[in-house]
Amino acid sequence: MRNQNDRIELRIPARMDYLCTVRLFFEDLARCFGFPEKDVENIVMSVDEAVSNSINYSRREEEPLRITVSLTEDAMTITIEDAGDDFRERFRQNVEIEEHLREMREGGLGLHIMKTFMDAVDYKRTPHQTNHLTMVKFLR
Amino acid sequence: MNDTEDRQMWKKFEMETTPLSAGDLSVNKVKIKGYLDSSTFPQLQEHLDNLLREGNHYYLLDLENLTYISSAGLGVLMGILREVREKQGDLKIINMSDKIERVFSLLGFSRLMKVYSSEEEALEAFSQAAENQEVEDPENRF
Repeated sequence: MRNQNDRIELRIPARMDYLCTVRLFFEDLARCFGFPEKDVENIVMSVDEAVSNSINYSRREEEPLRITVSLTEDAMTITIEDAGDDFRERFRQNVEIEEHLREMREGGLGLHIMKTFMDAVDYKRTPHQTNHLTMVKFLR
Repeated sequence: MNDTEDRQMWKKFEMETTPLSAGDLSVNKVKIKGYLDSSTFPQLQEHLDNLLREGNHYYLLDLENLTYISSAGLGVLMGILREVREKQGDLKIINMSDKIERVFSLLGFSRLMKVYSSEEEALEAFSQAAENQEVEDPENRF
């Protein structure tokens, strides 16, 4: 039986060539946890977007990204921490997908994907000037 | 495909371009293999930008071996689609897997980019669209 609150921590170099490794880790983890295949894909894509954003906006490349996964009986909670710029404003904004498609915009879908594909997404800027992005997927 | 093959594919990204004809149109078929994410999208962007600069405005993307696409990859496709449509060209897709199709559908991209089940069908659609354009073009009426 799964413990009440298991925690896994990953530290990865803040480089895009590690995205593939992160995706494979979460694909296996989500599948082993018992998520249906569509949720596995949603988790993988959301984590990929969150980690890509962190790397894109990271101010200190030499500092690794910290990814924490918390597993309870019915949920997976993923927190990505980085020392990048404050993105409170970007986080608050919601993408109008119809407008996005009509204007054929090339970027700006990352947060929309996370908010659409996960059950809950939250953002906090800490007093230590770090970003904590937390995403939750419930096991139904 | 077994898990080991899938993982090997995820480690690389490749493109292969084949010139095709659809009636009088020159269509570039671009076969994309592997994953298209924030680490690999610049390769596709550069490749398609070069083709555009050479005056190519019709693209057929073969996504049979595309195993993953992120918003960065979708952004490249969106940018190219906008550019070719501005030049009265088009981009069509063939052989999309269920996994990629689901992403396209959830994000609304399937409304912008038409997916065909075969190369022949897509080429026929290119050809048909070109004929219709000629009929509609007032300069070609007389």
